[in-house]
Amino acid sequence: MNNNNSVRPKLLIENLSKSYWVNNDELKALQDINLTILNGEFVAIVGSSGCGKSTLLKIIAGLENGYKGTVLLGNEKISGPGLDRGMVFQEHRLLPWLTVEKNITFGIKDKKSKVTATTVSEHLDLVGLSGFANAYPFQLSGGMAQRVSIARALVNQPELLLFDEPFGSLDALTKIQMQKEVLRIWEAEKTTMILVTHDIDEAIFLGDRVVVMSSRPGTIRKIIPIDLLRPRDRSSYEFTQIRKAIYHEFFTEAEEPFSYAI
Amino acid sequence: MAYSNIRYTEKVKHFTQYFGLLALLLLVWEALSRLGVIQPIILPPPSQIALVFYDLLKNGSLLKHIGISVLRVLEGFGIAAVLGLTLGMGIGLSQNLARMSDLIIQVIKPIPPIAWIPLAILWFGIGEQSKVFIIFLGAFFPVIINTIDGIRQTDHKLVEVARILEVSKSRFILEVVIPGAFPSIMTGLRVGLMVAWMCVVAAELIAASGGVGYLIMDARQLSQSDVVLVGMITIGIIGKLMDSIISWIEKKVITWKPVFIGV
Amino acid sequence: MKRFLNIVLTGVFAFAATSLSSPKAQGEEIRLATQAIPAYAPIFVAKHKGFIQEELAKIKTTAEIKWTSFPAGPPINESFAAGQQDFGFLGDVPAIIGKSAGINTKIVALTSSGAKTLAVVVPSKSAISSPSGLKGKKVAVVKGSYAHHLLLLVLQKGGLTVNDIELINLSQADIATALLNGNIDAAAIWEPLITKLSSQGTVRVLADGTGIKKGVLVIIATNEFVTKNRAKTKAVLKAYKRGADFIKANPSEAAQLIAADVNLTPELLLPVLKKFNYNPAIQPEDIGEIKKSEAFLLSNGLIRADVNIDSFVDASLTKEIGIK
Repeated sequence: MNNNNSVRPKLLIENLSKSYWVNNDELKALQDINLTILNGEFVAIVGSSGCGKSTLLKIIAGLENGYKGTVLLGNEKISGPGLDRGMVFQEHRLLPWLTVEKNITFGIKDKKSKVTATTVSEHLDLVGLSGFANAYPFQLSGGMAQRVSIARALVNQPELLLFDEPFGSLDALTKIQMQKEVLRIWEAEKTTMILVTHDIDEAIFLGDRVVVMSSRPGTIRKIIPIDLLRPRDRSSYEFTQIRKAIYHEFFTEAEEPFSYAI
Repeated sequence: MAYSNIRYTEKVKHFTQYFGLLALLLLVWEALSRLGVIQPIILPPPSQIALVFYDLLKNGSLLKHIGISVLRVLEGFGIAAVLGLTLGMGIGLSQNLARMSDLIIQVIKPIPPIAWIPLAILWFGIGEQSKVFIIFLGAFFPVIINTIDGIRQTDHKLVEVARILEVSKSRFILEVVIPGAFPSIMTGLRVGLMVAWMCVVAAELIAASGGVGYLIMDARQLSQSDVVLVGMITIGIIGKLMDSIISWIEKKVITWKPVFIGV
Repeated sequence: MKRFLNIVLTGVFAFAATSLSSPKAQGEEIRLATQAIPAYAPIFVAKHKGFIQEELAKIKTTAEIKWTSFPAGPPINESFAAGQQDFGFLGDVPAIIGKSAGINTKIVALTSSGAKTLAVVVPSKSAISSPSGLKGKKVAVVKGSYAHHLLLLVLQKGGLTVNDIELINLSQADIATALLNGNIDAAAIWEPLITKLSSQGTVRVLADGTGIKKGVLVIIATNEFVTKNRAKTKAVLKAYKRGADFIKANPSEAAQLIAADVNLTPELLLPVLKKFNYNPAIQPEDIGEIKKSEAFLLSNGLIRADVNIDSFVDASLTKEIGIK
């Protein structure tokens, strides 16, 4: 882990709080969030439903505003969405009327560049879908569509790539496949990635660090560094220890499984 | 439908179900007519209707009337489509326009085209224009309402994606909103065409001298119930044909199926 | 289950009994289909003066007279086809059309005739001065009415056929508006519209029935009614004759009496009454006129089945009550 203080963090979050008002009651979605993410890191954020992790991600993406505190990307305050922060959602959110190729092209800002065609095919290769350029989203499986979504997010070479529970709607086997894919892409592209998930194993498998969040209000409970070499063996002793530690964070609390939707 | 996958017995069963009830009804109707239970002037038997149908086809008059009516319908529908699509898109995309036009649209919408006939005659006379106007009124509202709906239904999730990808407003409208609205727009056009066709009879009440609606009204004056029925059946058949054509166009334009988000 | 069936069946039979028993029950109702025009003035006189009830009383019976007014002959045919009328007052042309279409009626008397009571008119400012001037023009008429026949005869006079004009089917009311608005070039109409529009200065007469069509209007009755109620039929016809006699003897009083029934002021109605011959007797020349109408209908394809006028017209009733 790079602890050199002279390296400027990619993403700096200080004292972030966000509340919603429901029927004149204040709902604290996030309270006093402090987080620093370095260039090239893979950070996983884990928590149960309703703990604010998605809200946090959306604030970083610029899709949510009205927060208190500081969120800086490099030097810039985040005030809205942009190409510098790509996002992959739980649904693939591809345009159903465009082919895979056109969907990826749709993400490219400057289409007049001659480089476009090559870029698209490169990214198709990157996500392992070369040959599917002319398929429509409805013809793809969930995992394949999600891979196109990742390609689209990457095609503009964003500073950050954000994942909001990207594999939640996939079956268990595909999910593991996709986790391996994301790992491979991260190692190839070296883009800074933030993944939000409720799957503890996923967080441990992928992240350099795992941020454990608790709910009501959403705060960072603990940040656990994962110092294991990749690819990580899910049944290894170290992996299991970390898994136990994280479970412990959730199940010491005698709270009922409760979640509210914000 | 993949008929090749269904066994022969299944096919026979389906065929019987499609046509069986109709055939049975026709047989009973014919029998009752021949027994004198149903008087021919009240309801002519199928055999008589078929004969009249054949006669009118043979002497070319039925085709002529169909042509006249179809032309009127296409004119009225054409204007309704152009106006409905442009206004619908404008209203769907602009909050201001929506608020300004909502009251007028909602008040005029329920008025049946036939009620406009007196005004149509006063404004346009008894020529083609007043008839096309009535047909236009019928087709206009399905088109505009469905166009507005289609635009309003733009998937919020895609809006978020477009924001992240810094898609310009014009690109957003052309590449996200309008293609997404296509299914609704096609529905609007399809329903609009059907209503246009249904209005043909109302429109041709205005002093027509040709057309299928005219044929029916004329036969009514001369107490020719069989011709009235031939006219009605013709309207049904042509309506079905028009619908099939538009369905075919719909399938060609929308080559992608709407994808359900999530599994 | 049995109880349920019982209730349902009782309900069905009760319904059937009530719907089938009225209004055809004997001695209860006589249903008249009329039009609000001066051609049928005698029946309106009879209505106001109670002649029908008096004649019925003479044969020791009563009945309720049910009046329905229609805008023209063809709708009267519809009503007859639905079995809703016993007597109808309409032109010979629609009467024949109805018979040809299968309505089981016969002509039992004339209502009136008058060559000047039907005419082809043009807007008063029109440049058309003779029938040949109608070529290529928009001409409106109630299709299937006796004015339709007049129109074709007038065209014939001008050396034209129906294919030389644009024939537009309009109701009398719509024709009035269309003439006022200049939407049509000419129309074939009947009284009281001719007098109404002429007096307003909207139209002038291009040609009327003089020398070409006598304008025979008739009373039809269903064969069923005549067979079952011969006496009542004759009572109605007698009442009609008395109305006609009254008009002849007291035209001014008659005009005052029925002006509202025919939508004309008494002053305008008076000269119109004089245009009509209200004798209900059927003369041989009338039968000749009706036959000409039938021939016109057949040759123009307006009817498909030939109608034998000699059997369609039943002059026996008027003979039996002594009208000549």
